[in-house]
Amino acid sequence: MGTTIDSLLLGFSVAFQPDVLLYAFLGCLVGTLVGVLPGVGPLAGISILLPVTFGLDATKAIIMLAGIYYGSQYGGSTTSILMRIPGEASSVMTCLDGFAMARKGRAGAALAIAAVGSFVAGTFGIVMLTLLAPPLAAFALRFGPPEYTALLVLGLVFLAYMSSTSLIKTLLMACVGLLLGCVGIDVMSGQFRYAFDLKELADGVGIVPVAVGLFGLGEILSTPSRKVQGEVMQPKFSELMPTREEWRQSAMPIARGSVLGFLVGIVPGSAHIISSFMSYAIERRLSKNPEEFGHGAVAGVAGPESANNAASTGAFVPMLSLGLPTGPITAVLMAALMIHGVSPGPQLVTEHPKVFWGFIASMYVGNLMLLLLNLPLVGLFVSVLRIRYAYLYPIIIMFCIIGVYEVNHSLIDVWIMLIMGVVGYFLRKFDFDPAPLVLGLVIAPIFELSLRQSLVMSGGDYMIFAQRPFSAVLFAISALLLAMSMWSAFSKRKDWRVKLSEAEAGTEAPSQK
Amino acid sequence: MIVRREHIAACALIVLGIVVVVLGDDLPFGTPASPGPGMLPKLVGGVMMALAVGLLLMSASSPPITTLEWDDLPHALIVVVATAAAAAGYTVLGFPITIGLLLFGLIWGVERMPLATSLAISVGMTGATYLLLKSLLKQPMPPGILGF
Amino acid sequence: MDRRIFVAGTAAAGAVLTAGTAFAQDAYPSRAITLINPFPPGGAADVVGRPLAAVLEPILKQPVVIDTKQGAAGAVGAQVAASAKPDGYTLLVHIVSLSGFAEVDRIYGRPVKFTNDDFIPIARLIADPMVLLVNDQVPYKTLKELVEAAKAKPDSLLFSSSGLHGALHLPMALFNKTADIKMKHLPTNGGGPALTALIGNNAQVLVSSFAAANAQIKAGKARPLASFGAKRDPSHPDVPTLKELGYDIEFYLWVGLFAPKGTPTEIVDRLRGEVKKAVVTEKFESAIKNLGQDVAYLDQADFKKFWDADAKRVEDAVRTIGKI
Repeated sequence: MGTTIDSLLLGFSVAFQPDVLLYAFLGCLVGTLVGVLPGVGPLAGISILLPVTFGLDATKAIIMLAGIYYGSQYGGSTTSILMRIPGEASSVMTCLDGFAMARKGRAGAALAIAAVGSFVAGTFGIVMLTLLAPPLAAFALRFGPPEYTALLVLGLVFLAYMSSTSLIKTLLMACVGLLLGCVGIDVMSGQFRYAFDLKELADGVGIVPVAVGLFGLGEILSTPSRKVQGEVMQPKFSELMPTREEWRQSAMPIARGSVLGFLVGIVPGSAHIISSFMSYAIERRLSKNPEEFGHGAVAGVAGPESANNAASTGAFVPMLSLGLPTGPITAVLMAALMIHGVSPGPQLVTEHPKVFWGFIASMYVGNLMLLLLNLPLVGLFVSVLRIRYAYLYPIIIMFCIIGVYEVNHSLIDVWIMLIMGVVGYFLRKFDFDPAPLVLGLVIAPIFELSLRQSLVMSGGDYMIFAQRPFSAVLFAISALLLAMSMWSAFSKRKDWRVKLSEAEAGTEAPSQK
Repeated sequence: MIVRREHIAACALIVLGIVVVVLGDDLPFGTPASPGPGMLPKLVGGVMMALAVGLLLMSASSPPITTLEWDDLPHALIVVVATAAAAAGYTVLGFPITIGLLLFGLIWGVERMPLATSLAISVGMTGATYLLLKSLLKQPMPPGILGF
Repeated sequence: MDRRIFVAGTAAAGAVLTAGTAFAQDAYPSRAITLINPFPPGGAADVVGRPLAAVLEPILKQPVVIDTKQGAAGAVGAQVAASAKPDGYTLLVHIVSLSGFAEVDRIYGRPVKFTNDDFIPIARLIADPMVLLVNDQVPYKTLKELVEAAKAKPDSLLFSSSGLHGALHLPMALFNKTADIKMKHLPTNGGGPALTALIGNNAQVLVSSFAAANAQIKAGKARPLASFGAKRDPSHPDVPTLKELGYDIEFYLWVGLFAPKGTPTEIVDRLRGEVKKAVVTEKFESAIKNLGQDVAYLDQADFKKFWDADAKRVEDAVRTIGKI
């Protein structure tokens, strides 16, 4: 313990050097910018600034580049809350209640809670990283294909709590998402599936085009300007910050989101996306007022935003303590370290203590900087909502197009977004919720790959899922949750879903002519 | 019989399921011990059709299709056509021209906003975004026929 | 308007326009050059392409932009480059697996979108020999022990790869064929996940580039059994080559620069000259050195010869794997 504190002090002595502080700030600034702009994610930001760092030493370079990464997680929620454009897959859930809050004039509160939640989650993640990185890394390595499969099954079980529409409609949407996720080249056999020989579809249908289409463009299609004319949302300046009640409601979701997100985040691979979905489902399940979700529940912003930020910090665990690039972003950060002559690996901490601890310490500093940077920006961002809708919605369409094009620089993605916008319009007409569709799309390719990898490993024996302890535990949790929801369906006459539809019928009754 | 909202939705999903199974005809299903590329799509397609049949049976309480309001359809159609035009022109005409025209067309042509403000906003937003992405963030923007 | 002024004005404008086009034709490059990177940022082509772009900029006096067109294990970027306008403003940075796409499409009966003939090689930049690794949880200390174990119990060992027909799958397939052994294949979706699978003992064997595996070798988590190079790797002198051990296989993870077919010879020659200057700059050399590699520059003629021989190896490997 004592040595950790000594090392951390060494790290802070590096991180507080004025020029290091400057580069950390630059990284956070660029990160906020690329986070706010839809489509231009951390990956693009880092790879663009990579050549700029050639003249710097390894410590400054990695501090700046990592600042872009975790800084972008703060900005990711902005367009989701203000315009219902999910800039990246992990902010899809924020669209639901964040945008609903903005509709009620609480955009400032939503943005502030997202920033504070991100700060708490990020700091929690770094504390865990400081204290427990080696054992956590050992845990992460135990996560092979069978454990991954089990985790995704758990994610599918949470589907039941995702949506306020009836269970059958939720499952139908999830099926559509799973089917969309099947598009592309089959990793195990090399066959093209539903891709019509288009190489651009070989890696499947992107999550961002689908989410931006369903949420962002879909919203615009079903909102003609004459419906919003006159009711321009003009939040008063004094209403920018969350109320005491809103803080109280978001405290526990932030705490739970931080822990959940961090645990999912350290698992190698792309599962960190599902952390925000799982957090949303958990908050809804635990909430006393589940009917508020989807209509501006504070917990629906606080939980997923914290989970998503903690997950991004968790992803550093395998990278820093094992030198394993488990995702695309850690891969580019590792490449950056290598270009600067520091080879990340199990011995990084002993061979380059200054780089390692300076990096850790800079993340404490960087998270604080981001909070101080983002809170004042809330006022600026909220003023976007003062723009008249007739001017605003064409600009939103522009951001939708840029956002999906810049992800892969592929025009097909823009067409997918447009098609999904039309689908989103009809889903709304027919009262289907698009969120389970996106979750299905996220889960399908990784679920299928890990299931089939597991079966390759075991030679086709399903017992592998029971023999490996982590996967057995995760499957047991899934079974328990299923049993619990069955039980409540049979024992109680009214579960929350029934109450919910009654509540909705109640609120909608006066508006029916 | 009254055609209800859920009837249409369920039928559309059943048709989608059939399309998926037919298009995936050439994909081997595999065995449970070694799933083929066709297993997941066909299983999910089957489950989806079964659920859709369930929805069809339980749809008695959903509102009749005639009560759906379509007053937002003209707006939606205009936006879809405008976005499609922008997508078609995006890599041919380049970012500044396409997006400038899209903004101007929607703000001035569709929303009938004053000419001066429409022009200022379309040109200003397009230019600012272009400079921000291209110069500051060095994102490769689609080059058009004019070379920028 | 005065007619004389009008005529003069038109003439002047015409002169400027003609001069403009003439200028554009003379002085390649007159605008930014795009290097297409077909892999995710941080991938093999990206880490070489970025330093190259950084040193080429001051030499060409024009911006050199990396455009990431990832997808389908590098096929999307290659296809974009193959169909780009051959004017020297769109170039491609690609790796060894470029030669395999056409063969894969043929095997699966899909239309072939491009072949090696659609690209003009400009220069090879690096060539890192592949290395066969096992993790520290299996007992094999030499390649012989591994081969014997695999022969005694076929399909008991698993090897991971960056994906079907990927750069980490092809050399393993060649080796399995030459050594006449059978192992099970665990495809993942990238080089990082493939290495993670090896270290986490979800797979026991992996063929990787030295650069990607160096840190794990040094930490003792991965054991190198044989190198796919023609000579022993200078930084790992105790790792024997496959040729020494009696398997006639060579395989490199090389990165090269290509132009689309039809690019004018003058432009290609200009680029050859400038790249030649760029690769010997201290900045480029140190960037590559830091990746744990050496610049292995080959000019067009030598690169073409190398590439032709290499393409045969790759196509052979693809056919060995066959349709799954």
